Amino acid sequence: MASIPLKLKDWQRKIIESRPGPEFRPAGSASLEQVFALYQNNRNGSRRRALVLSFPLLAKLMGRGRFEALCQAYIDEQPYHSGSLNYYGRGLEKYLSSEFLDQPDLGLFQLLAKFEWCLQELLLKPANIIVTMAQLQAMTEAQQQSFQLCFMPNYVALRSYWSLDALWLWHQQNLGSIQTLAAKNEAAGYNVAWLVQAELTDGGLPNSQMSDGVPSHNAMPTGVHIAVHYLNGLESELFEQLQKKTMFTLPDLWRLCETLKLDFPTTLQKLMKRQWLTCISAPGGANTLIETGYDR
Amino acid sequence: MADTCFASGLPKAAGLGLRMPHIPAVLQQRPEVAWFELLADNHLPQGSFAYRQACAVAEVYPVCLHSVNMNLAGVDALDFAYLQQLKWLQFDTSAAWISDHACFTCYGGAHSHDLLPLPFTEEAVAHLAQRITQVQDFLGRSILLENVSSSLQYQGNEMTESDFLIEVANRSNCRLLVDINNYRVNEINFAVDAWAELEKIPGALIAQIHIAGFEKTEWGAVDTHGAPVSEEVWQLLAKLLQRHGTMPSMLERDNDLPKLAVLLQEYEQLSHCLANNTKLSPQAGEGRHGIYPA
Repeated sequence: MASIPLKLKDWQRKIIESRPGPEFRPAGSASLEQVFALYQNNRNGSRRRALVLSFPLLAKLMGRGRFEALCQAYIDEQPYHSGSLNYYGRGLEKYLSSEFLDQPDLGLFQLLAKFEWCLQELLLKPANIIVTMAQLQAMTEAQQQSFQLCFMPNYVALRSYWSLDALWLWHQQNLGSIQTLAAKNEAAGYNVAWLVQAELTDGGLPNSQMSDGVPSHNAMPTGVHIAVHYLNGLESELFEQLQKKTMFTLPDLWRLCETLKLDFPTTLQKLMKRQWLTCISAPGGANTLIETGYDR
Repeated sequence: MADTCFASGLPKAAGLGLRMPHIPAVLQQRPEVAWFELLADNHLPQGSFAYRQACAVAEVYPVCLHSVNMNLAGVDALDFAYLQQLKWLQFDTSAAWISDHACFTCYGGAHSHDLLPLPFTEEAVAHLAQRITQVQDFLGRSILLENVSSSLQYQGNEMTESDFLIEVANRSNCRLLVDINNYRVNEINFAVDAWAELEKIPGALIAQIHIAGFEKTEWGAVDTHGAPVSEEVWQLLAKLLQRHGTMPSMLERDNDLPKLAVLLQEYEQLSHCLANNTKLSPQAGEGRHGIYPA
């Protein structure tokens, strides 16, 4: 066959847009339509797998047919412009909220999507240097006023009507009918707020560094432990506010406590004791936040 | 004592693709594997749990990195934020090299999440070589370029696949990751003699070999990385090693991932194949080197 001139960019555009033409030769005995459908299916399959991996509990509770329909609708309607599928499920909770308002049982599913996505994001966040009360006390007042803090990236604050952590544990331990547990949760009318923490577990391998019972960020990770800390309403409000900030100073924290009528010294003690704060920059330039390019 | 390909490269022995579900077991059990290939995209961003797992593996074993999102032959701009992440990961794991594919993955910002084929034309050679040069300049290291399987070809190809890859490698000073399974799939799909293509490639250009499984469909073959390696692929591997000597070779398994014990059995089979190859490897210093330090 005579050569059909084709620019590289036109070749790429036609494949991405699924536009067969005489310049293409399909494999074996396939038709061009079959081959282009294969590429489309590959793309959708990759995206679907990413959603299944990110939302296993949601998939189980919704049931296979319903979850696959949700995935296909999300794939078809939600634009996504990254080669990395790590963040593909980020918009699923909002999509559920906006698209299926008239379906009453979706309240639980939306919260589950939010919960499971939080767990996914926790795994993608870098560990930073924990700041201690001793470090703060060693600073001058002027240094304390300007010291930049941020909330530990491996924590996320949530509120829900259901005890989602119990559902999650049930799913992880595969204890039988999860629908029964979901029904029990709803009947009991839980109204909880919590802080979800993902932390690395150390299998006692050589080279792990433990000091004062706190795993070093250099410890060899063998698994992830999801811990849930129950909060009262004011605490959850505080943490949600802190999470919205990329960085804050101690005066910022004091103002937040004033607004929420929380005792500042007690709150600061609690944050420090539980190692929920990390530092962005300290006087002298040490302990700078790792640049990840990750949009927090 | 295992040979090394570069001054600080991989042992000239069988390796294994290490996937996320198996990492905890590998870190615990420390199986006898000469080196591992990590899928770089699974271990980003820097500092994440998966990133630190990669670093933990690299503290125990020699590793190399395999990425899928460089979009080397794409006409969209290179993603330097992504390349920076790869650069950090390579540094923190002391990975022997990073490899990616002779393909494009997106156009106009629309990502396919697939390795899409190229026309084998002079325009594509020039474009891909120039992009690889840019990437290598940024990384400060040579990369490896892998051939892909395809369900589509250009009617007006100006050269064969191996001619294309050799020309790209010569112009950009990169090396090649030869995927024998992909040559076999293309042989089924487009009646191109796999061995005729493989034997064109100079041994000095080959830094690593992949073998994997494919599945036959009603119309051809699809590279699934989930089936057992076919007899034809084993034979092509043996012939290639006989021709060029032992080099780092690896079995790829991405789908239908079996238990680690099964993978280790497959690894033993590959090790046996390499051990049976009696041709001596070229000494370090002979052959062609990339322009960047190893």
